[in-house]
Amino acid sequence: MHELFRKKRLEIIVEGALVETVLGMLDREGATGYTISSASAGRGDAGRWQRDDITPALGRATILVVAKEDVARRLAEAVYDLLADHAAMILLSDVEVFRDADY
Amino acid sequence: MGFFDAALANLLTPMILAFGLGLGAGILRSDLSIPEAIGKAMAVYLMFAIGLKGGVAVNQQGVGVDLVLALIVGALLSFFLPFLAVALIRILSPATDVATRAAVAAHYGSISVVTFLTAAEFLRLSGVVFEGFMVAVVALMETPAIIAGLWIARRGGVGSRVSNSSSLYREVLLNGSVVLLLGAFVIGWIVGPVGEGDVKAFFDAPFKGVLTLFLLDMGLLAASRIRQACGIPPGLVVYGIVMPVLSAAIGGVLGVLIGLSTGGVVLLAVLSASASYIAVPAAMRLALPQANPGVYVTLSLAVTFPFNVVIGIPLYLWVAETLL
Repeated sequence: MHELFRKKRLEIIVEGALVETVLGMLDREGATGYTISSASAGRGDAGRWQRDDITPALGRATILVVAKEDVARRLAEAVYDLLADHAAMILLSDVEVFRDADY
Repeated sequence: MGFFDAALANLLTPMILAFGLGLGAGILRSDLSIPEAIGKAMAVYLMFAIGLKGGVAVNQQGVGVDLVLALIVGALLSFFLPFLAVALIRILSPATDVATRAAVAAHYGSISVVTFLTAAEFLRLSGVVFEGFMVAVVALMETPAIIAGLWIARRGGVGSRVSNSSSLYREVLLNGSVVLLLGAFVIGWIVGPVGEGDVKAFFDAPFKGVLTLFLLDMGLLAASRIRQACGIPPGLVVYGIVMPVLSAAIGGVLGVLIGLSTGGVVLLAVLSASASYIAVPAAMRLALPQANPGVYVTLSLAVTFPFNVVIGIPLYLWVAETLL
């Protein structure tokens, strides 16, 4: 059995228009990596949205970051402050990873 | 030609019938859809083609005072129409919140490239000539409205901390449609009719067919928003019809004052009447998150866009031909 290491998983679901802004913030705050995926459709306070809407800016993307707990919390706080006025979900959860040195 | 003849002539073009097909299929919840990538490719094709055509026309006609005047008037219209929009929303739907009011206003100062393309094609079909440089006016009218809308919002005490970031300026000044239209316009200007000859077969003959398919897609997109229009206050829906007519009248009068041809006057009226649904929503989500996109995109795409392409364009042409 390989050893597993505890990390934090930070997920940010954000409007397409804000993805670049959030990535800029993650880079400045020291994120070592992230994965972006496009969400298909959904509904929230701002009404229904879908990926193939008239402009990608109105769709949503998920930005996934796995990091050490202190880094993940710092990133989450910074993103929360940045997106205070915007439609967004910021989720922090526990995960286990195989490659400790990668995060 | 009377208004009803003009409206019927417009209605019976393949473009508008295809728009109706998309609208009907969408409302009836058919599974008809145009793949997103193809929709984008068609948009790139159409904008490049119209930009190129405009640039070639300027290469042939040269740059004159009329071009400079049209650019100045276009920018002023884009900046000041949002103030008229805000006043009209206050009257027709006083309960609308400050942020949504400002965002809607920004959409109506800015323009819809597809409405412009449809109008230009309708003029060509009707044998009405217009100035090639109007394409440059399209590109210029996209952004001043965004600045006006954000200024209106700030005065009302709303905005976002993201709005100062470089992404907003990039979104406003370098959004794809502006870069593509202006870029193709400059290319057409440089290469002229000789250079255009090399690519004319690709950009000229298929243009109407691509526009027809693109309007089918627009019909489907508008239909998906029409369902949301049911939740919009009736006063705002009325605004979505009254505002374009008022704006067209102002744009048309200014077009006459600066000496544009009848076709140019109609296009300036159409640009004034049209509302953005691509560049401005993106900027508003960045800078004015408190505003409701369910209102501003829906009004622009499901109320004003269909009104303009079906009734507005022949109406503005009929008024211009009757008065000029």
